[in-house]
Amino acid sequence: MPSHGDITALLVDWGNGDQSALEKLLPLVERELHRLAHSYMRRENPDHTLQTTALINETYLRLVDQRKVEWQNRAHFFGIAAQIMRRILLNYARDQNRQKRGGKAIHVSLSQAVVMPAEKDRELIALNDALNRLEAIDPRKSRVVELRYFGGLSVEEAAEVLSVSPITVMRDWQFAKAWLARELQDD
Amino acid sequence: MINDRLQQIERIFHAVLSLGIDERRDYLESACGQDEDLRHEVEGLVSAYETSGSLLEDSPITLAFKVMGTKTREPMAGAQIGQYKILRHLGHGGMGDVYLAEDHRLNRKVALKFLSSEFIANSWARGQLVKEAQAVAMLDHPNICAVHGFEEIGEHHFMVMQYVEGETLAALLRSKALDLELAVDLAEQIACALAAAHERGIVHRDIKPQNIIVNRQGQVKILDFGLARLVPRREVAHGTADWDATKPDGPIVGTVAYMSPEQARGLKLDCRTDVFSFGVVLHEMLGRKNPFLRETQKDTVEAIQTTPPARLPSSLPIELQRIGQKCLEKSPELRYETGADLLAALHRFRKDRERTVLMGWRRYLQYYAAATVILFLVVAGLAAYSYRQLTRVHTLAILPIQNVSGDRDKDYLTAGLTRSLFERLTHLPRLQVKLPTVVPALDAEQAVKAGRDLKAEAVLSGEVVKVGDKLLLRLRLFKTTSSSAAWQEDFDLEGNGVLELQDAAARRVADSLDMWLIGGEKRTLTRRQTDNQDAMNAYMRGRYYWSLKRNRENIQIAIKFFDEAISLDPSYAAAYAGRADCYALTTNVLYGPIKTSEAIQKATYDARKAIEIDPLLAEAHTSMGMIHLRYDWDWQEAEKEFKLALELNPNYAPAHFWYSNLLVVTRRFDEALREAAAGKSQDPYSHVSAVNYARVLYYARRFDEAAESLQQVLSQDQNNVQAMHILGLVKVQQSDYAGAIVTFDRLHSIDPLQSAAALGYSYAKAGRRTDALNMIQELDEVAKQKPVPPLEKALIYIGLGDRDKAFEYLEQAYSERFANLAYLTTDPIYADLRADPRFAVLTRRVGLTF
Repeated sequence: MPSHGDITALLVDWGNGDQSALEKLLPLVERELHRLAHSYMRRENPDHTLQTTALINETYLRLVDQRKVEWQNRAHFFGIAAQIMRRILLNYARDQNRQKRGGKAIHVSLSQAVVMPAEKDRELIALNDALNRLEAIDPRKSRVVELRYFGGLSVEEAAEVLSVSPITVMRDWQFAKAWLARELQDD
Repeated sequence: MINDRLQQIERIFHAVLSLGIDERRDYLESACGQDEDLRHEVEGLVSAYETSGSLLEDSPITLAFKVMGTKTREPMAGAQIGQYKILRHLGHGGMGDVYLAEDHRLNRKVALKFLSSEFIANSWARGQLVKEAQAVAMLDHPNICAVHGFEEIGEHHFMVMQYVEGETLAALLRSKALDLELAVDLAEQIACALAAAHERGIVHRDIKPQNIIVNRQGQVKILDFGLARLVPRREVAHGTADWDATKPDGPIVGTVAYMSPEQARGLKLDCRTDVFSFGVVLHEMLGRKNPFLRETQKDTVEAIQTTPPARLPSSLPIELQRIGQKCLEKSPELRYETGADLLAALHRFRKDRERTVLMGWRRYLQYYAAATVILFLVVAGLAAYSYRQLTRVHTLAILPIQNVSGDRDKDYLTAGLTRSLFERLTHLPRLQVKLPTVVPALDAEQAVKAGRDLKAEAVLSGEVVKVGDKLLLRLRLFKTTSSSAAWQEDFDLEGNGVLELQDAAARRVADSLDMWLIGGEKRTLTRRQTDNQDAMNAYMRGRYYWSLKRNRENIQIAIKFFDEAISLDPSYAAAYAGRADCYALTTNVLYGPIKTSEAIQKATYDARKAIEIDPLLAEAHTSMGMIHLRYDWDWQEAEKEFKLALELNPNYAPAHFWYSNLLVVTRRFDEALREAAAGKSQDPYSHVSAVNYARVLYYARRFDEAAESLQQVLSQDQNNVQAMHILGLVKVQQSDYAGAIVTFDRLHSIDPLQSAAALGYSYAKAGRRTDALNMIQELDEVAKQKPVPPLEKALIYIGLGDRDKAFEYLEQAYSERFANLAYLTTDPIYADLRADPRFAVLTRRVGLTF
């Protein structure tokens, strides 16, 4: 188990421009998120986006030594979380989609598994593809969508992560939404 | 870098959005000018934006969280972790994800249960888990999904488990109604697993249909033994939501509707909680409904604690209803105490039922026949025919399958196939199977004659033959009323696995006997002791060497093969029983390079293990009984085991053999002769059973009859050492010392070790003191190379009348718990000692107080 210090140090390194720190940070944050998600699944009514975001924040506060990091690091942390969430959801959507098309029956109980609403899985896969195309022409807009949509971040939080003004985030968001909507219509 | 064009589009896009609908057209015209493409682009985006509706509206972060909460970190398929290559995801367990993987080192498929980070982070839980995994790993049982171990490789922590292909009982219950036979069969297997676990003090705590897998052969495998207490419960009963890692017994675990009342209260649990949960599962299998399941968890928990469950359908047998009810008693004291008690009750029920099903048919058909006799004579005739077919007990003799393939290496296979056919067919309730170990020859006529001698109505004979490159098992069934084969079939020995072949052959034999098998009986036919072909092969080889001429080398080879079978399938009960039989033999001066105490220890361990794995295995109880008889000198326990073995399989000859020996030791000679005769009639051509019968006659002091039987054996097999040995002893009792010396002398030239003591004793009795002392010297020489049981020398001293020396060695034999001391009061050879007060003391210490 990584100590708080590890994650703090890595966040600081990453903030100072060390890209390899991100590589090390990702699995650590992911593990923590998993832990959090597991306990979250046991709560009475795990259905609010707001509550989820608050939980991630809680995790951040718990994981990171506040005296040692810049305030921007919190945003970075959230950025990492958003990336992880996106990948998790996408893999899950693909798995579920594959199974619907007649994959092998699973012998272990799936009673505790989450079932995505019908169509949601295909929608997610398509959205992800479109987002990848957007990234090719405008990486920041793609990031804005990732942070706000997959990471549940507010406009201000996303602005912090990307070091831009909130208005830029809003404009990026609007345009990305239009662009993605058109891409998905075409599909 | 964003290209300029896109920047342009974006700028215009935002401008358009900030305008009212009316102003947009003018603005677009001015901003795009002649650039139709640009204008088209922006218009498309604006319209897409305005009709985008709920796109990107709700962040799926909560969904992602839920997914994370139930899945491991990343898709692992294809990953290589240590010696394991992950093949695919199997499902989610309470602790994390389960993957199918290939273990490269051992070349087998395994299921890996990864721990979710929550567990990895909690060192207490992790420690417990490792401990628990070790405890469960000790549970080798065919109905328990084996845990191979716990691994920590890099950041991965996982349990390595046996991979079981099959369906969960939950899925099975959803897809079809279980017939009574199947439900009882599955229930018995579940109880069998619980019995084994409880015996070791392991409580499952979460017995439910989702944890019970039924494989293609109908074999039950229970998952997650003992792990329940480590898993935080998702369901929340009366608000105790949070898992408190500091109190292992605190959290209420188990899927709510299968919890016991004490579990629902969060009290301390023992075996009886499993009995309750089993009761719920049984209820569900028989009544198709969970008796406690309510709309909400709170109501369910309350129902478990207060509401008596709806009774099982009254159409079910009363006894079964009673068993179901007893499991579901609210108070643990009123339930079956352990899985073993439960298993016993179910087994009794099934045995009784097999009898009543038969009687039921009989009654029904009698009625039917009676009614129809008046009306339709023809139908009555048919009914009477079916009646006979259904209720008649068939007697089948299985003759040893012969190896005529020319390949001596297949000898073990023919012996193994014979034995396995016997094992499968012998449990059919309406079939009595005889298994002679020896038959004279095997043409059709002789087979039929053998069948008649065995008082069987049908005879199964078989050969392993080589046709072209193919190795075939050719089975023929004869009715003893005619010499033409009633049925003949060839089975390809190389195309299929030997297990499938045995299944098929047993089934075809039952079919060709015109036995109308009911469901449970059919399953009996294909019930396997192991699923591992290699283990089966090793076992067959072990039994083959065990059954060959008994000598030290063959016994050692047999042990090696049983070792191999056990290492390939540690839940192979019959292999443990086989090894127990071997170790018990190694205490004999002829077979054993190891000390008596060590051999007994090993034999006892194996026999216990065999019974623990399969309490219904006659071989295992026979082995245990033999150990009680020979080494524990616990006659009562020995008798219990033999009787149980014979109840489980009345056709198992070694059980008759050993039981007759116990009856001798306890001086019930008439019964002993009856048992020995039963063994002899099972195996009329075998010299072993004939010699055993003669031996019992010797102990019963019917020397003339004994001598006659032994002479008969020797006239056919003049070098039979066992027959010679007992004949010599008989002659001593007949005061024919010269004759005894001649017999033992001849034996001495064949097998010096077995005869040294007896020859010395005879010399002494005949007054040839020097010769007798020479034999003592000879034994001392032998003793320099290997242990010689002290009883050998004691015998010669008895003959010499040197009681002090005799008792010295008897004492030594006693301290080694040498088996043959059990015969102190029955073997006439010790009669000379009776007058000595030390004799009474010794016999009392051995427990011979009758």
